[in-house]
Amino acid sequence: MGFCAEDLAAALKGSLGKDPVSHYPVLTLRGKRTLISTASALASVDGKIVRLQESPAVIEGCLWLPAEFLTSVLPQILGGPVTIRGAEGKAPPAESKVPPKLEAKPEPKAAQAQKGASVSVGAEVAADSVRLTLAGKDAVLADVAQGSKEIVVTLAQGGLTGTAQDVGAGIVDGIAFNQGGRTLKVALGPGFKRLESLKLSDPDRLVLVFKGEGQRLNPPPPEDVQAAPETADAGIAPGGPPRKTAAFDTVVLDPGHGGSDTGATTAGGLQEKDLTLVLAQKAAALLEKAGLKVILTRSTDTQVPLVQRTAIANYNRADLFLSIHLNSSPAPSARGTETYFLSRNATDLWSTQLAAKENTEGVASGATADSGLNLVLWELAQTSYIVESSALAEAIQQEFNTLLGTTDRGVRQAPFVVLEGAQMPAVLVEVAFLSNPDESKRLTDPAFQDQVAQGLTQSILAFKARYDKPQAPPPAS
Amino acid sequence: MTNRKRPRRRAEAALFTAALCALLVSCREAPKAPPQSAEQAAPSAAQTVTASRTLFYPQADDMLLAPCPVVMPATGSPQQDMAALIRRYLAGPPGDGQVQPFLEHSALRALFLIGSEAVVDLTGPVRAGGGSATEAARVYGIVQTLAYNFPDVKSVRILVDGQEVDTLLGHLDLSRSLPPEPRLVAGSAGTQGDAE
Ligand SMILES: [Zn+2]
Repeated sequence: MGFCAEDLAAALKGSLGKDPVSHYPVLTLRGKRTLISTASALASVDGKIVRLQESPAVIEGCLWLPAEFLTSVLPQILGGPVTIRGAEGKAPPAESKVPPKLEAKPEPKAAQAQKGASVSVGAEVAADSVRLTLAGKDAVLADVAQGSKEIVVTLAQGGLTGTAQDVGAGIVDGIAFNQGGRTLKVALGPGFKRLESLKLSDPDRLVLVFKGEGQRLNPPPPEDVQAAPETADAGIAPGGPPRKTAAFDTVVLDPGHGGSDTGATTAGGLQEKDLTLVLAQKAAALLEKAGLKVILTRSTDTQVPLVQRTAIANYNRADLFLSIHLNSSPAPSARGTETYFLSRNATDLWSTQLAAKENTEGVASGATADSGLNLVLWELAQTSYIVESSALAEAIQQEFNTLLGTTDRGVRQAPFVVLEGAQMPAVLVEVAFLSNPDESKRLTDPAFQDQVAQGLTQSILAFKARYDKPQAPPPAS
Repeated sequence: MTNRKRPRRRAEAALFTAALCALLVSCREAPKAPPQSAEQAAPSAAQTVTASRTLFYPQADDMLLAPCPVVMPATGSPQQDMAALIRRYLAGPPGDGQVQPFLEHSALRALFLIGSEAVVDLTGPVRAGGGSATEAARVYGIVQTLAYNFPDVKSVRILVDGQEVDTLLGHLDLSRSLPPEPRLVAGSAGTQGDAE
């Protein structure tokens, strides 16, 4: 059973359009964009993936949505449960287009009683992980924001209770929230490596697993606590993340490697880390000239951890993340540009494995086999932007095929660490091969470096043009 | 199961395989017939049971993985045959046109199976030299070779000297198990995954 998206849009005074990049339908309701995949059982609400049991489909001019869209996707859009009065779902193919009498009720009566209902906070500490569980109906609707030094969980409603603050230090240096409050802050310690986030049902709960090493229940004396590494050029300013405007205005460029991590090198003494910095700086200058705010993950020869590079982009709410590298192969003849976006194969497998593991371990009683359907892998945030990222990768690849005279190259996918956590379109470009004598020579030529910077800028501006005009008709192809 | 015999000594086996590979004109061509499994390979009058296998090495020009058919001794024990396959892989491609992504002295320490996951423990200079093309070729050369020849293998986890590693050369995430990546394989040679 299901219904037409057009009817839903009309009933809720929204609109139905087309995403200019992916060509997928976009349902805009209450200012939120929901990308609906007709190729798979997925929808993406403002970048957050929601898995459906059945795939939406275009049937006789109607964008048919399965009935579960009302219960699994719509609450995410409207920020609360939805009541349906006398809705007659229909089976595909659609025979009539009678809109379901549907009404958004962010606060229905049943929920009223639960407003202010408690979300209990519990923590389990192990040497290699801290597992934080927020249990309660409102926990699964919480917003989770990751910065480089802290993670902030914000409840839309309800209040936090519990005594989970004392977790020691190492991976997580502290958990802070007020009883009855809606905001919980987790201070990340030097041992923190990654966050796995799961939304599970029966009972409803949000599980955040902070992975890393060296969690100790007794924190060391203050003089032993290491200061966080300096991020002078890391674009992380005190006082919280900058407020985000709707327009595409911020780009994060990531010059690959740095410090003791030289990246690829040549017998002649060229180092990948030096050339990526030059290229990023040249591209940054051009992009700034075009009116964009550009943040470099490093502007000097320093080593910045891979996860921090992505965190910088997330913290600054960048609209695009581009990691710049130079390639190397044992075969000197290898040449040309390789542009990558995140591998879907790997991330799908990881999501499945994590869900299975979580259910097997049974964080809380009542975990069901299909809890995995609610899975959100925070550290794989990039999966929500795969379509946009592939379009960006394609644009860059084409630009550089022309520049380097290669014609047979397509974009590639692989699980790059630096792309996984990015909450925006993100690609990694291997501009050319340092191991190829000809390309290596060109890479040191300032005129060629300018051409590369120009090529990156063109691709980004073309992507911005499409991103900024979501209602533009899709380009003929 | 037709296996009874252990393969000949490794040196002999390697020689045998190398001789067969030398007869192949090019490793760029996909094998004409799907490779046979150890079970399907008819035992010859002699003692050695063999199986057709396909190794995936990067092409020199674009670094995409391309198939290279070889015939190898088979024991009938998937774990042993996989280990032999990876040892053979680490020896490098037999023909021209493909690249050995690993440095000399890279070796297999151990290989074991956990359900549909193969855990490959490497040692030697596997974390030295190269950019992401080299890293992708090392990682996915192994993943693709195992998954193609042993369809029960759905993913591969790579360890170095018995330890989990975040990455080999600073690009790819090796903290978890990796399924094959068809986009890193030339043509569609890598997408079937139904070798047996
Ligand atoms: Zn690199």
